Amino acid sequence: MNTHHLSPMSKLEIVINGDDVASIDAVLRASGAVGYTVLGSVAGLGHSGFHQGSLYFNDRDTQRMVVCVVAEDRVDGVVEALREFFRTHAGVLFVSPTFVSRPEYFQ
Amino acid sequence: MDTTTSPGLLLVAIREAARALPVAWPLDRFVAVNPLAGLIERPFATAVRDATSLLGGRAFPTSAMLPAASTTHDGLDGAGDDSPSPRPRALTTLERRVPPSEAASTIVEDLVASFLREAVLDSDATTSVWSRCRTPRHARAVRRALGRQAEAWWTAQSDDAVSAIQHSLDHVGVAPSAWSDELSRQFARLPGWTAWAKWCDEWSALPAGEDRVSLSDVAALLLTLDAALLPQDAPALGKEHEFATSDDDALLQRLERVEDDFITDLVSSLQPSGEGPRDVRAQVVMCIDARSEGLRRHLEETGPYDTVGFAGFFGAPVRVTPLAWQEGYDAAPVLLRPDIEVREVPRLGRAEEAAAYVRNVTARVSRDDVSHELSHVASTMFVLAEIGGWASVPELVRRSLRAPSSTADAAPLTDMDLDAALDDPRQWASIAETSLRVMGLTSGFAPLVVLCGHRSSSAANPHAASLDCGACAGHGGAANARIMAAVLNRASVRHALSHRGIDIPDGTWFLAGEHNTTTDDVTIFDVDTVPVPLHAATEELLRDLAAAGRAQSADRVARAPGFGGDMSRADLRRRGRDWAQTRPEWGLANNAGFIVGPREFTRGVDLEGRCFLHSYRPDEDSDGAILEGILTAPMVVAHWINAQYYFSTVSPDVYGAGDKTLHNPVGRVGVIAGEDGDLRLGLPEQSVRFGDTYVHTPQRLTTVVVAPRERVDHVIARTTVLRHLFDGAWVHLVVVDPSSGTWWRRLDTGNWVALSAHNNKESTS
Repeated sequence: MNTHHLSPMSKLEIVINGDDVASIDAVLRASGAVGYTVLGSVAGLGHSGFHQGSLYFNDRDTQRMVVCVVAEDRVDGVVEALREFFRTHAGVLFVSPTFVSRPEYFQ
Repeated sequence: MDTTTSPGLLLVAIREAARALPVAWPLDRFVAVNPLAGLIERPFATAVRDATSLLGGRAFPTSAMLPAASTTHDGLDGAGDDSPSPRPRALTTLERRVPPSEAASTIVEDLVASFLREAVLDSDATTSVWSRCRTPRHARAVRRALGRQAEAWWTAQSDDAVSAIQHSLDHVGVAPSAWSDELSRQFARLPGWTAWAKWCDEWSALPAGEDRVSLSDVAALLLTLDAALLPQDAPALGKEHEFATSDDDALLQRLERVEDDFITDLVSSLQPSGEGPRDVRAQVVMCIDARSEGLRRHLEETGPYDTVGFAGFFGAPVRVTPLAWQEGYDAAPVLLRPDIEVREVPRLGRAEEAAAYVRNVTARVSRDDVSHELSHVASTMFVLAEIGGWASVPELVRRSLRAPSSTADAAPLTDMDLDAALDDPRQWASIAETSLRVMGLTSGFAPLVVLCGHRSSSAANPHAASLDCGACAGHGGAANARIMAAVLNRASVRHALSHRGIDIPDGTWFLAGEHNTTTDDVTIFDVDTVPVPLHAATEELLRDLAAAGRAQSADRVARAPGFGGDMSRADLRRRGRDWAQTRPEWGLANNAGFIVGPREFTRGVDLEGRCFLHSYRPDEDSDGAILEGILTAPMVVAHWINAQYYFSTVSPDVYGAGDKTLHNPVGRVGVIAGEDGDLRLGLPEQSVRFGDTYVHTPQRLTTVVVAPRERVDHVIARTTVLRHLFDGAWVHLVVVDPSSGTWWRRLDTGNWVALSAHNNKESTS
């Protein structure tokens, strides 16, 4: 991939319970993230068992994935706060390098 | 100490600290919630003990709260050993470091509560509560209450709440590893305000300002004043007082015996009764609410009626804007975020009449001399606030003490506007299909199908919404019933449904109704739209609903204390209008069971209004998706109601709202007892007991499911919330296999024991 006109960033993929989205929003904002995307209907198997992706009449007890891209000088603060969050909450965090075309959107 | 840590870390600690605290909905949509829902990942016994260590109070019922038969010979009836005093809350770091007089805890709590109360009543505010408390006037209040040194500390703090919290934590000597623990202890001082802040932070999307309070605001106010009181020579952290818990296990075991007895009685009363009536005149779908159970039974006794239990929002995930309202309200279980906006609009040709009505109602709210007619009804007070704005509420409360006059404008004929609500009206067919499948009504439609929601009527009652429909987020269910009845009468929806295997005959008409649980009157809406061939059947239905209502109210009057035994329907209606009446009805007191199965298992059984009933046809749900939908939403709501009653009864000082006669509403935020102090949580004492008699038995919900055991296991295994509820013994589970007729009880280990329905004993393991 030709990335010479793209800017390197860090991508966080955070899988959490639906009712923790508000907490993650607060943590990301406080840690310097300026945006994110929430995906619903996320199902899968974790170490505490299977997690159903969607339910008829309950949006809060299903899993969500929050995708957040942050500049590299902010990623340590965000990850530190999320590690603390996951000390007491169910979920997983993946961090990977990524590239964006408009870095000013992520500052 | 490190003061450059990421602010995100402190926010995580604040959220974590609030986890053991309850959450509270606004009074205008007051829904029941398990106050310990944040600890649901822990087993029930652990969670209640943990919460009691932090917040104080009691974990388990005393013998006075339980039925006498279940508490005899339990070895706990001797003097003194039964009712250990409620525990005090956990102490904060300051309280452990200095003598109680120097901690001045009550003064700090009252001051913070008064700042918060004043802040939420400022309807013009647009900034955070903490920043609004940074005025010279607030500083003077701190000086008057706590002295000049405290004022100097207060004034020197940052205008940013999180920075102020961090500074005070550092000053009092709390290491980052103990932040969350200390913040929990701070929140435990004002659980009512914390519960409101938790709702604002975790459940609502309110912008800063008006009555929004954040957890950071509450923590900053309490911690800053604690830090202001710390003397320079304060000793290091002392040890906490240990509380004896020796009787705890015995109290839990006694609770389990009460629950076992209930399960035994319930199982022996539930037996399939064979076929339902033939030539059914009407199918009446009522809310799962335990108050529907008696009315359903009495209606079935009057004639060829079949009744169905389903969540009273009828599967419509809607936000409703009634005629004349400025904004709509969420009319769906709070577990859902409704995304379909439906407005009530004048029926074709009725625009002028409706405009006059809106003008009159709006004028009534804004004119001083006439609005008292409506404002004596507290639930109407919130309606008026929607029309007139929250600024009008204090005046409305004052007026509520005047005598009401008799007339109110008659509402014009209206429709629920389905077309404007969805870009693609075909989506209504999908909503209708899900509803019909989950309620098990996919064939054999009667000529009339009634979707019957419910509401209550009470006057000058800030907790009125707690008596309304939980599935409609603490509102009456009429709007939802009208919406779904209109959807199901649409030719285009029926056409789409027929392609999905649900054929609604042309001769079937859906009606919307509403059961008033205070008076047991049932209103049927839009009767003028019923097709002519069904007029006679509709008249018979109205007559039989009225008879069933009479029988149901007679049952209630005879059963519950406080009704005077021979009270008439007129007396019940008067009671609902009487602003001095603290018990318009008993609501869901004594709820204990949630039954998921065909009506054959419960038809004709007098369940004494103790059970939620959800219809379910196990033969139409081979993959368990419908059962999963029922257990993960309606059952969760029933569990929340059950848990709210449990904690309001067992530990009323922490989780209950106290004496209703002392309540003063603080806007829509909550009530305080008297003039000062924390917001009160949960249900008033008048909702759970009558004098020394407990009308509610605090026990955990028992769910009974009619389905193959393997299917139930499979649904639990794939659904996190069900694993927590059943494995953690928050809810007991009994299953009856419809093919073998064997009854099973699931233990919290996940193992099953067989129950014999006839000899009422566990037979195998």
